[in-house]
Amino acid sequence: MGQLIVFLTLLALGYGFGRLAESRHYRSIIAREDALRSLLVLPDRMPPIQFQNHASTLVTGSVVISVDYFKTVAAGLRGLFGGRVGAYESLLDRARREAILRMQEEAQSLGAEAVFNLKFETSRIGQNAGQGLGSVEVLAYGTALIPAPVSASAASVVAR
Amino acid sequence: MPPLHNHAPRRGSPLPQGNPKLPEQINNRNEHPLKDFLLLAGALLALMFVLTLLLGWSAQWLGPKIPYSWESRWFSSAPEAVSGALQPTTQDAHAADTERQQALQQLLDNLLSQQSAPLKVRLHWLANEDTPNAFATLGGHIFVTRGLLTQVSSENALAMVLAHEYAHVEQRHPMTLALEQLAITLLGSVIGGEGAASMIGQHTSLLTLLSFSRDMERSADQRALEILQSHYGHSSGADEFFRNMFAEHDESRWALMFQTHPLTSERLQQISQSGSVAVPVTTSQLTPLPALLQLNSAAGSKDAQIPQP
Repeated sequence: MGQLIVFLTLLALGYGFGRLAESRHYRSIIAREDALRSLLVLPDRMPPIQFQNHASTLVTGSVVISVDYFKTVAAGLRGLFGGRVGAYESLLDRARREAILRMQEEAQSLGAEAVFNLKFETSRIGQNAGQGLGSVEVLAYGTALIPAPVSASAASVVAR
Repeated sequence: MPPLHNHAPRRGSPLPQGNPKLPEQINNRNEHPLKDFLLLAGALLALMFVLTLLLGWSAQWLGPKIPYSWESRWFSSAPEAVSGALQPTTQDAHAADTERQQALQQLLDNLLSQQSAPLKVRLHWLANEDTPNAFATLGGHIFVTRGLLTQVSSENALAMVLAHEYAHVEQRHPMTLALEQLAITLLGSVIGGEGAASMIGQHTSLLTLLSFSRDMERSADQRALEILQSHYGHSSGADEFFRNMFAEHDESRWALMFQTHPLTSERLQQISQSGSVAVPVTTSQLTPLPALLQLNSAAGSKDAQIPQP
């Protein structure tokens, strides 16, 4: 009986806090995506001609997420019956979007106009992953294109 | 909107004005997680319930069909954990304990002599156990504790307990329980990967085992009364052990100690209903215990104080 109470408590805590964190996080993601909409993120490997004088640098955004107890149990049930594991889908959706946002924020702080060649990497972290309580890293990276400073090249042309 | 996943270099096509606002439902269905969870958990519980019932029934069907000779061959030695309780301190005590064990075996054999084709069971005497108890295990092993002998004052009362345990063996209850447990363990390990699922499984299966056992106890009581009836010609004295227990402990505590046994008062009622007590019985009808088995101080004297209903 004690085991059952512990189980139900963990389940309720996982559900309550997981749900709270998720709705907060989605609100934040949507607001920040709107704010950064003009900082282009494109998968193209080659930037178009108008970026040829831009400086380029690597920008990354990394997120590590862990599942809560409720999601583990819900996914475990899905593991028995099959089908879409909605509990993990929302988690990974949040992780990917958050990773892009962090990458964009880094690019913005460097004064970049766009990020090209966007790529994702993911890896599993944590020894307890076998018990269904693993963590996953989602890494987004790309090439930030930063306009060259006007002072050096343009000023020298004018002076001549 | 121009295709976004174009790996060729952009030649003259204009850049988008901003990052696209994609619909929310593509990678995340945004459904309420509880709906899905409750549906699946309900389905799992129903499945476990049905499978447990099915496995219980098939164990009850299969248990008595396994030949008893197989069971006694598989489990020919008594379980180590229990037989370890028989640890005589001195040589003399050891001899006395062996004699007691033989006397108990003799009593049971006499009791069964009227039965057609009685099963061969082995009695074990637990000399160091003061809790009044007797139980039957796989392979036809019946254990009797020292505490039990201090609680009975007539042979009839002891015979009732022995016959009850024999009835368990005869009706193949230990085998049925073992099969049930095996099946449920199997079921648990199939689903078991998930801690939660196996835990739910454990709790439902325990409840079913408990209710099966109560039915078994009732039927073993019934059979034991028949054995007593055919041996002594009456079944009086059968209730003595339970009545003594009832007098010493209050019902709730007794019930807690032996939750798998039907409540004592319920059993007393059943024994009374079998008609034995309706006929007035005198103490002279009861057979005294053999001297070797007299551990109850009250039973030593000729006019033993046998509680009457």
